[in-house]
Amino acid sequence: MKILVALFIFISPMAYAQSILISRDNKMGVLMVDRLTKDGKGFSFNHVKVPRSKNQLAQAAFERLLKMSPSKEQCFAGHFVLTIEDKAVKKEIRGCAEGDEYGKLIAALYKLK
Amino acid sequence: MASAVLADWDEQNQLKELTYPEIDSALEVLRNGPRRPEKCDLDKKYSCSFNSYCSSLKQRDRNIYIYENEEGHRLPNTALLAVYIVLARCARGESFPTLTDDPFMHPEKFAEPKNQKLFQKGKARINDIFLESQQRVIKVLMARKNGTNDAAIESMIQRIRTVTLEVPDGKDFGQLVSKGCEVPNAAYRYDHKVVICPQLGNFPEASIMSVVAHELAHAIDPCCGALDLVKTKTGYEVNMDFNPVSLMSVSEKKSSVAVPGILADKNPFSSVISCLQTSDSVGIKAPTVTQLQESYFKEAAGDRQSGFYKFAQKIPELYSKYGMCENFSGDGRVGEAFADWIGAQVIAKKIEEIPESTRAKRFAFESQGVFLASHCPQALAAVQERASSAMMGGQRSCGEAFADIDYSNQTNKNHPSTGSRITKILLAQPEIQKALGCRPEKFKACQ
Repeated sequence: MKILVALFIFISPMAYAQSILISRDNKMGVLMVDRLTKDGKGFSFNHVKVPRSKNQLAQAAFERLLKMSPSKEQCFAGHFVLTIEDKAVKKEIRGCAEGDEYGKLIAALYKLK
Repeated sequence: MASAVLADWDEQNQLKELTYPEIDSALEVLRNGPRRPEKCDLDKKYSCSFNSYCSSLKQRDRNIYIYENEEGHRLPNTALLAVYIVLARCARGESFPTLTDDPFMHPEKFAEPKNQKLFQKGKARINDIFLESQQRVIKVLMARKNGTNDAAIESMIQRIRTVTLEVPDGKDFGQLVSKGCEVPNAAYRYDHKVVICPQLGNFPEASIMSVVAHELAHAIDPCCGALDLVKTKTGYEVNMDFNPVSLMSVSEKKSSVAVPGILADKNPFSSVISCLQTSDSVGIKAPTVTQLQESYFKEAAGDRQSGFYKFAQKIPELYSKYGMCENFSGDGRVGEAFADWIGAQVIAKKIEEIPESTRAKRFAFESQGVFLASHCPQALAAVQERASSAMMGGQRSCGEAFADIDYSNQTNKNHPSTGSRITKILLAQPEIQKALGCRPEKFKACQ
């Protein structure tokens, strides 16, 4: 029984959380990574709880992350890989680390920083 | 109910993992590094390799700038900045100061009114170096004329002359990022523009020159140079008429071809392009017609009606035009190596014009600058080690943040490795070896 409870404790937060990792690099090979996680209680950004006062900013950034679409075009400045982990499902989206939508997304993430 | 309990459990346990003082002390250690690096010992005998020059900077892991020259132009310690950012993430919502107030290191600070002058100064400097580099690339092309290739060389010169520079404005950080400038970066785009991020504005001249010459060279590389350059209402555009989604050549007739493309067999640099693909040089190889066909036949899985199958059959006729393009073959590394080679020629010729050997040596060293600032593995390891020891074993929760930085997940596999690019192309150039006084490695300078 104890083992079952422990298992439940470890699995449940993951089951309730939707986590998005955005990893991007540029032509010079510099790598930048951010993770935004949404769970029942709010958001955490790069493993740090987002204060309630910043929940709207986190929500806006989260929505932008979910709207990002893949691109098969040639990327001039660099690439991003978005890994969306929702329950047991893991989905990857690849695209170019440039363009208006991408710029607005990263600016939204910097507001959280 | 269960989730509330679990969240509390989770929060309590997370808070136990790392306390503020541990993170604060690590951040302080990194932030309090010397602002000015000690003098660089270029008199020591190095081998002509990127790793060897990286090792010369290992002791500078404490410095916020790994290098500063007599004019005050600096190379940022990118490894230190990266570790600082990861550590700051562990600060659990506490506000923390940025590593420096220098907007060339934190481009979001360009938006502050007090930094506008710095931005303009950096932009003007990049512009001057761009104009000089453009002339120098043209000189490299002129020197290649041999009576039989003159027309092809002239058309390449025409391409280089018409490239324009864009230094994205720092007033709006989102706009800056939309141009690929979240971190120092540079690119040549199909709109025939070279984009140089403003963060490079305070790099040493040679570091900027090698980047600008590299990007200019993309206008004539084996991919873009094989495509027509067309006139548009606002400027020029490389006519990339292959669509990687539909796997079709669009062949849209553009009436205003300004400079026709030069296919591989007529390229005046075909011997250089072949040489770069040998093991005597950087040794990167573009996928062959057969390799590409095999991969698409495999995708088609025997279905002769599939788009993959039809495309595989067309590859032989399309290859001479698009074969070196990333969005056709999935591999643009030959173009990157060629751009590095042109950059190396520009630096070599510039060095020959510097009469004083100490200045020539410094220029040759600084030409590796962008890569020394961001790609020395020893520097990252040293900074990480120092940060970990400052946290005195309390880095478990920071470990989560560090774990997200997975270099194996890096998407930019379209460039030859940095060490190879520097060692086998730039440092294989005899003029650069002579100026540095380094011990030559076995690699060939392609001609």
